[in-house]
Amino acid sequence: VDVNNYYILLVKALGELGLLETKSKDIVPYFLRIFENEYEQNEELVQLTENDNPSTTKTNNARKKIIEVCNVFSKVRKPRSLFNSQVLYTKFLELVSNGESRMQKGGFDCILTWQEEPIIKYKQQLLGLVWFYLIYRYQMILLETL
Amino acid sequence: LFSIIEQLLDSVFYSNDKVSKRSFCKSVVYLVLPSSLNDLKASKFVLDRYYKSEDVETTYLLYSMLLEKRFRFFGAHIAPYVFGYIQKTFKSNLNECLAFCSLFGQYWDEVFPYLPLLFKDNGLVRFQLPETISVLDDNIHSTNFAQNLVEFIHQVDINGNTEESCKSLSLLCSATKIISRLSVPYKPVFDALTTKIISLIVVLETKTFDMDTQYFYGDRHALIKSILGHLISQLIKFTVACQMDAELLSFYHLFIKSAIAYSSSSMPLLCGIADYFESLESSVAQCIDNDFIKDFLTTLEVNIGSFDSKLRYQTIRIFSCFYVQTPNIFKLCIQNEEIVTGLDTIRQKAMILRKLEGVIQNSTDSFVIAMISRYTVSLYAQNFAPLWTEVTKTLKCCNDANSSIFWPILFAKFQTTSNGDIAAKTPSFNFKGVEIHISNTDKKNTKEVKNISFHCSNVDNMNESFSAALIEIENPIKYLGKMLETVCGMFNLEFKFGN
Repeated sequence: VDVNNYYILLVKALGELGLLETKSKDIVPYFLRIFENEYEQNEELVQLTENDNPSTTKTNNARKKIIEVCNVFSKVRKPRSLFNSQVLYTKFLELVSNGESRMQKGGFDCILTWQEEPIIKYKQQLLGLVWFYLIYRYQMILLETL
Repeated sequence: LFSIIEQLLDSVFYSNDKVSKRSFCKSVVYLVLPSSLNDLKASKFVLDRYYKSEDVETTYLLYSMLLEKRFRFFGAHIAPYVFGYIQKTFKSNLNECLAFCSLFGQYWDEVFPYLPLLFKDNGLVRFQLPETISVLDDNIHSTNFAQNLVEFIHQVDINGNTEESCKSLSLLCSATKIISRLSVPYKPVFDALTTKIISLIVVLETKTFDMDTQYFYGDRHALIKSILGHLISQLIKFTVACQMDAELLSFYHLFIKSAIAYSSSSMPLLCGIADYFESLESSVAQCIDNDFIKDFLTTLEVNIGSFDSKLRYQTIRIFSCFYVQTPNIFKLCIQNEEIVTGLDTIRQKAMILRKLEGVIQNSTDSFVIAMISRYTVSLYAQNFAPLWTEVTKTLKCCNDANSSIFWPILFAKFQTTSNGDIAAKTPSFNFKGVEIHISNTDKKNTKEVKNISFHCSNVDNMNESFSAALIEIENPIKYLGKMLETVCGMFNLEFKFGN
């Protein structure tokens, strides 16, 4: 069984069934654990061994999970009512400062759900920056393959 | 071509080169496979030569390849040779003989209808040889295959922990696979199998440990449970085939009740128990002590949501025997499990899920909602994206029906997968079995069969057209001739097709 894929499907189902907000007290601690245990530790490992092995499978799996979690949280209407919402907000902010463009985009989409005025004011510009970086990366990959 | 092969066979059998022998054997198989009944008359001398051969491995290779390639005349034309050869080699080459029996057991249902009437006896096989075969070997009647098998089953040592005892256990499985199909007196077989079943249960009462042998590695109890389940299944099959159904009820207190206690996570053992309850049909209620079975079913509930589709399937079969309400949700789940997941079956699967949704909408029974929720959540484990959207729809239905029942089930799965050690929770073992003798000869056969097929009717049609076109374009005789040239080259024999 592909456990990571199964997990991602469960996370998607949580979003589609609208259970994320009603059961946030049960679920959010598990999401935070993924951020802390799987992702952050592996990211450190990747930075240490970047020259030898830039992306380990474990980190890729953690990234996939986090991107899916972000997709689900980006559809939440009242993020402030979530359990440990402030901690979640900090984690999403950390993602925005991450070098991986898809994670940045995921984190930023979640931050937008907080509807904070200064961010909403510059929403288009900030999104543009994220998109610019995404396109830039994509073009670089295309160039590498040529 | 058959007469050329016949001339070459002596040289081939004298050779010590196993690889070349196998290649030659394959050539014979590919020549036999497309033959009509008329052409097969020409193959008689070749088949007789293989039958007389002392090289047991090569002869069994020929039979097993024809069996695996589903040769259409296997039952009518090859089976008489096979029955004779099994009797002839049972004592001298037990391993090869039982390995072949095990393989034969797998294809039994396909072969049996085409067997000559001489061999058939009320759905069982009579190991009697036709004159054509018995003239090939004068001593053949002196051995009684069934009696030898029963003796062998009695002698197998199940208590040993060595490589040799592991091998014996594998051979025991193979022996029971064939004995349950034979037309033999009921009592000796029943005694032999029951004694072994009870001794296996006694072994399960002792402390387990890890084993590491060529044939098996992992938890010893897992191995014993597999064999126990297999023996129970074979005994049930044999009892039903001998029309001794009245005996079935007594099995419950004899060994089924004890076996149940060890069965919750063992798929083969659950399979044996499911076979038992299914064979009881309507009389299931007579033998059952209700509290015990209720407890048993409660422990099995978790298996309904198992990631392991085989474990899930066997558990559902057991539940289906005890669930009397209509519609039987477990029968719907069985239907769903039996359909191979693929593009052409996704509609059928979706229809079954819609039926389950219908049951949930019309039911307030918490058991029904819990079972359907467990089952549906487990379907995410099937690696087939079109199914996932259908599963999500059914899950939504379960959540709407009763969130307080549904949520703990979903959350438990979420917790397990978040921690990410599902593999550690299931016993890790590998039961290679005695089939290794045969499967090693053809590595293609050892490929793992996946539960999902990307079967597509359009691709199938295209393949059929290609095959038809190939037959038209290529001259099969020319192809076989070229193949023979290559094989002869391996034996340094001069042969030019067309000369």
